[in-house]
Amino acid sequence: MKTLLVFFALIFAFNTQAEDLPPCCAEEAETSEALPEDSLYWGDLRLVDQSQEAFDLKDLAGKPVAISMFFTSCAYACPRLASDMRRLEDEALKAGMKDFRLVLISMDPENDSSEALKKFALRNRLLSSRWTLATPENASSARLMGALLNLPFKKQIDGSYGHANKITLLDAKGTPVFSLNGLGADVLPMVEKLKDLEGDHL
Amino acid sequence: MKALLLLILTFSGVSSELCRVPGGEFKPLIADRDEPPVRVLAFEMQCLPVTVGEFLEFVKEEKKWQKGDVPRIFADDRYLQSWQDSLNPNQDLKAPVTGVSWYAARAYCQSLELELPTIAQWEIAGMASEDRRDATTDPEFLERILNWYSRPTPKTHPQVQSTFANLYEIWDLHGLIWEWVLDFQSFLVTGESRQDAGLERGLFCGAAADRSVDASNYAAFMRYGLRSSLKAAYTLPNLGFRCVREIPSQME
Repeated sequence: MKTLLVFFALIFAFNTQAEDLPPCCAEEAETSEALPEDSLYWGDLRLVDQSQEAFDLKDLAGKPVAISMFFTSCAYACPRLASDMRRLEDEALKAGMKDFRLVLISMDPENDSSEALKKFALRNRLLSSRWTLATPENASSARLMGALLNLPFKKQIDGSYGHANKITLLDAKGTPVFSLNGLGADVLPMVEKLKDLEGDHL
Repeated sequence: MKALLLLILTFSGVSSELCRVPGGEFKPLIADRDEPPVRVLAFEMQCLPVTVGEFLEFVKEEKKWQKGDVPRIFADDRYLQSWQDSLNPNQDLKAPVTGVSWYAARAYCQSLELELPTIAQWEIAGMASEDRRDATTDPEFLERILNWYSRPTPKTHPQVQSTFANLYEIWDLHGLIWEWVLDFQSFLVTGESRQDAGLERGLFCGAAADRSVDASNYAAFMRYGLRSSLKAAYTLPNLGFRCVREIPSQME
């Protein structure tokens, strides 16, 4: 019991310490030291996820990430894109990997609230803890995400978006290592790349 | 910090000055025949392109964007190529800054709480001549732009405010440099994309004709061509930018 208390006290102490670091310096230590020059995590991007948690793009660092962009009111392509990524998850699990994330970023910040993201996740069964669905803070940030992923999109007159369908695999430090283009692509080559990244952690 | 930078720029009397552009309608160059034009709300645009001097002030504040420090993801290796080193542009400070990537241009605008213009905003401003809001049907105006497009990029750029000011008193939209836009990437897609991004199947052959709204505007076609060939980290010796701001009162 006593050890447990000490343990908690320690955790608490560590937490406060981390929080006490001025934001400027904590950030500098993270980005300039650890990030390779071609990491997407240089991108200064604030997002909110399906559970209303705010985070920075670079917080995804630490595990390999399969990432793409979508919008929740998308009727045809996005559910298929999500199902491709779910298939990727299944195949990766089958191959014995579990330490990776799946991330879908919205290109429609105006409409894709946390609630809309959550509904999309439920509707498309993106439910394991590996999934993050997130919306950038504004249209310009969504453009930044599109630029980083080299994933073009265009708002249509009817409010929907035309967009490329592309899943990019990032290593644990955010460097793109592989991508799948088009819907219904064979996910196995990406599973292979994911295997190569196994044990790739910060 | 941002406010300070804004203050410095304001006092140095340079081009962070904004010119108002009334709203209007923009017909995308490549669109479906029955597609209605894009409505653009009134906005403010920097009256001059961003200058070398202004960009120098920015990189002094933001080390991350200095030549030599900028990470490769944000700029190719020709970033600010004509500069002697990170804080020495070694050229006329009143020349338009070029050799900047989209990322750098966007970061500059955001440091002033401004934004890069969208294609629609840029084209609305760019279609005005000295005396007409829409001069795209004026052969003399188009001819003038095309004449410039056909000239090679000079070794050093003339100063900003050296071509002409349009109806809104915005200088140098044509005739000095090409300019980045926020959504340059969107040109690659035209519809709900079922496969990948390579949708412009008709752009360089006859199939484009029934999609193009205004085939006579060859100048717009050239801008389309340039933008669709860019990636966000690219830098070119004749590609610069200017920033815009939405007018808050008309936002819901």
